[in-house]
Amino acid sequence: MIDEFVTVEKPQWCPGCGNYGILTAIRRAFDELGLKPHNTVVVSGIGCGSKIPHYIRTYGYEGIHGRIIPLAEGIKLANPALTVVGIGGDGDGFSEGGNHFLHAGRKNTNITYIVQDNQIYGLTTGQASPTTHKGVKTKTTPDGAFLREFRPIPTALIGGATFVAATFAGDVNHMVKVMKDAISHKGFAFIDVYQPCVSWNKLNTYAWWKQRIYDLEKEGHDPTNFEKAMEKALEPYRTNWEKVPIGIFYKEERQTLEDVLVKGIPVNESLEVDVSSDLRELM
Amino acid sequence: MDLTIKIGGAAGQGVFVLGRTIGRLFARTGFYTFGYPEYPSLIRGGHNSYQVVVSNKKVETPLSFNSVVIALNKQAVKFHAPYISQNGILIVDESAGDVNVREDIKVVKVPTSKIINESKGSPKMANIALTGAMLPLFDFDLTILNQIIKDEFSRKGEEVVKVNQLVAKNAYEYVKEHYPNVKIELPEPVAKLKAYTSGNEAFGLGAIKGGLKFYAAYPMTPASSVLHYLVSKAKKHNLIVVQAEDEIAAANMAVGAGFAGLRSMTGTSGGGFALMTETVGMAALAETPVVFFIAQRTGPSTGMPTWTEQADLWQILGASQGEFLRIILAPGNAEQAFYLAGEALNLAEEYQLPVFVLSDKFLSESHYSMEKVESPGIRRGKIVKEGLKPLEKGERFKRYEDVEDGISPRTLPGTPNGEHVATSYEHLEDSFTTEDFKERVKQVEKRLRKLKKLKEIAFEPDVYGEGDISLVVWGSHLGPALKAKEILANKGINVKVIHFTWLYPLSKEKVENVLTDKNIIIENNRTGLFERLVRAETGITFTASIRKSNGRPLFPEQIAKAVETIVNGEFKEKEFIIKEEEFEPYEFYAPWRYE
Ligand SMILES: Cc1ncc(C[n+]2csc(CCOP(=O)(O)OP(=O)(O)O)c2C)c(N)n1
Ligand code: SF4
Repeated sequence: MIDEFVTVEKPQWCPGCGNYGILTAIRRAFDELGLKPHNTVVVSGIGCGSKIPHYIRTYGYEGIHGRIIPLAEGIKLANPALTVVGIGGDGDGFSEGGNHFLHAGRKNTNITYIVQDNQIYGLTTGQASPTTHKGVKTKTTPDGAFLREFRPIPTALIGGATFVAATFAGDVNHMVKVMKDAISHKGFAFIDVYQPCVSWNKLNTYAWWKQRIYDLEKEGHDPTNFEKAMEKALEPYRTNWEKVPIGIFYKEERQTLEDVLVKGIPVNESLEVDVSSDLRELM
Repeated sequence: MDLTIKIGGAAGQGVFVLGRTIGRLFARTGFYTFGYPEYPSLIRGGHNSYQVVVSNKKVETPLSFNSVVIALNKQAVKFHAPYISQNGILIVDESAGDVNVREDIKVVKVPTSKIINESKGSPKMANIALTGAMLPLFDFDLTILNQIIKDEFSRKGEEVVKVNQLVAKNAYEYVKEHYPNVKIELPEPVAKLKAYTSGNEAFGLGAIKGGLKFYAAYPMTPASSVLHYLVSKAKKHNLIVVQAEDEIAAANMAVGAGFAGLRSMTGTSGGGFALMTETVGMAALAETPVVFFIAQRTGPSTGMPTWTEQADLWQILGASQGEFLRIILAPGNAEQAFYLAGEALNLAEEYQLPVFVLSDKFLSESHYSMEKVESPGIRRGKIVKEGLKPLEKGERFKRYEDVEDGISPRTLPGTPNGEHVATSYEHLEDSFTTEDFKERVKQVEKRLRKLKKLKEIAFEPDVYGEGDISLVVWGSHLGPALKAKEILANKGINVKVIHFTWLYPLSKEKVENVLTDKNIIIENNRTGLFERLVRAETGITFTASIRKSNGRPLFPEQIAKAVETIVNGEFKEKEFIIKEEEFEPYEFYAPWRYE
């Protein structure tokens, strides 16, 4: 029942914010996957979107800015029986938390990481983010953003993420589908959600995205082909955002961090340990 | 009676392996043994040394004289031979060439290459040869060394064990035959010792005994060997040990694991801890249990990475914005490191806050013979797993319930009806974020109420001996202070030693209980960091202080001399800073300048 995942707290985002759609999609994805609130952990950071754990009645950790991935990894390693979903903004994930994003694919912990990518810093009232498009005027780029955009999907691919997808906050059904696939995937699953910020990002509006996005699946993209995935991932940059593919770019099964480091369910293990032979070794 | 053996050689010559082998040999024989390594921050080149201190009384400090020096090269002769005590012995590898040394010591030259060749061994076995060569001087036989060789090498095969044992035997016989009269007197062995271990290994093993299941870290001297040790034990004890991409990740992983219900820890040195700072406050506000192990080195910044100091106390006290409770512990030897590792895990879970264990290079990398192996048992605090009342629609568990002792019941993910959000924002009892002033104050007061109990359970400082004058130390400097006490007693100055392992939060009453009229505080830093903390927390001031910050620990002889000066000057001198004039003679050799 989707009600299971609703809390008494009402979201406080600006009317029209893309996060409403994202919240609906997450609740639906959890519900359709049959997840149980007590076995699910939503981990966030700091940003507008990161308030989301308070609106989903599961366990949650609302951490600090930029540290969603390691926090989620620690939780998952400690109890692999949990479904762990990290979610936060583009500033949080690509700027402050860039090093973790870079390494998450290598580690390939079985977690899902959703970025509410609104190409702006929402909570801090409209500074440029790593994904702000060139030329966009923000509080910190009054003459227009002048740095090359950070490229989340190519970076995730190079970083070794074993599930890489994009989706659009204006299309709940598409989000639900991608999220369900990502959560069901065994390994580090990254979803870049193109999310309109109605207050601070006047360029990348719902209408703007709708004109440009197309579904990879409908094009017959083969998500097991890394080279093709990279080609598609680069398309927005090569076409100057004329063509923006969404859907699953790439998917691969690879050894996870838990496969190597974790036996069983560590939290259920006895803490009584005999160290007498270790002590003898030290003598 | 104390006896010291100094081993010196170039980095890469295996000084530490040799030192540790000799240390183990004495510890297994039944002597209290201490091992003190020194090395510059270079991988190749540079001079390494290791002092083994042996006694029939507990000893946990380096000493400023050498009964025996084992020199692996010429440089070692030059550095250490001048500080051999009268009638002491220099054992030197023949390859060091003609060593022109003092008349008042005996020289034992060992043709290690020749011995190794004749035994069909490899050049790597020079260490074993020199250990074998040392045995006749103490009238030891080969039994224990043969056993150590077996323990060390049997995984490499029977043949390797045999060859090593033969090398040891041939070197042993060589010295027996050529230097039958070179002897050093040893007292009777006295103790039954359980391990010869570094502070870091003892800490790691104590943590395992204490139920540690998760350790994430990024390498940094001198904390790295905890990571290495735990990795080596991960399979056996089902530990999750992660080398993270950076310290921020390590700290957040540890907090995540703590939230999910594992006993969890991260470890680093001051520089790495600077990066973890923000995470400390998160754990504090979200009330997630986590332990930080911090091994200090000589700062600030990169400083002198392989040397020691007690200068990061205020960094830890002040780490992260806002006001919150934390506990800081500082073990004084391997036994205490073992015990406090488990206790830190207990306190973190019981009080749901960050706990720090403060070590330094001196404690972390020195070797101690452990006599007692005590662990505090496992206490997990208020984890609720059953009997939770079903939640209404949309309702969440009151994770931050405003309870009397300030410690709210905690549920772990996986527990039905315990759903809540651990949050870095100020929050309501049911974990929703809030900016309501009344609720804010309620949570501030709730968290702060833990302090009352913490002051009750704070360990009283340990007191060693009696006297009107107290030498006050914390953490790693227990051993040097106890030896200084002994030296002073021989000069007719009776002091007691007061050792703090619980640094924060302090209970004024407990500190007052142990202090005397005249208190001299001894710290391995330049500005008296713990002295200032005690004053700030309790209003207590000290009569005088002794400090040192050249990168080495305070040596007992140095402490004794400084105390003598202060006492004889009737405490007119308030701040005794150990500078070049007070250095022990052997502090003048410069291991970083290798010729
Ligand atoms: C260490 C740290 N630095 C800066 C901030 C201030 N801060 C909060 S949210 C944020 C950026 C918000 O942008 P984004 O992550 O994209 O999320 P959004 O609000 O757009 O959802 C910043 C800079 C902080 N909370 N912590
Ligand atoms: S500022 Fe932007 S991202 Fe934040 S709530 Fe408003 S619309 Fe959403």
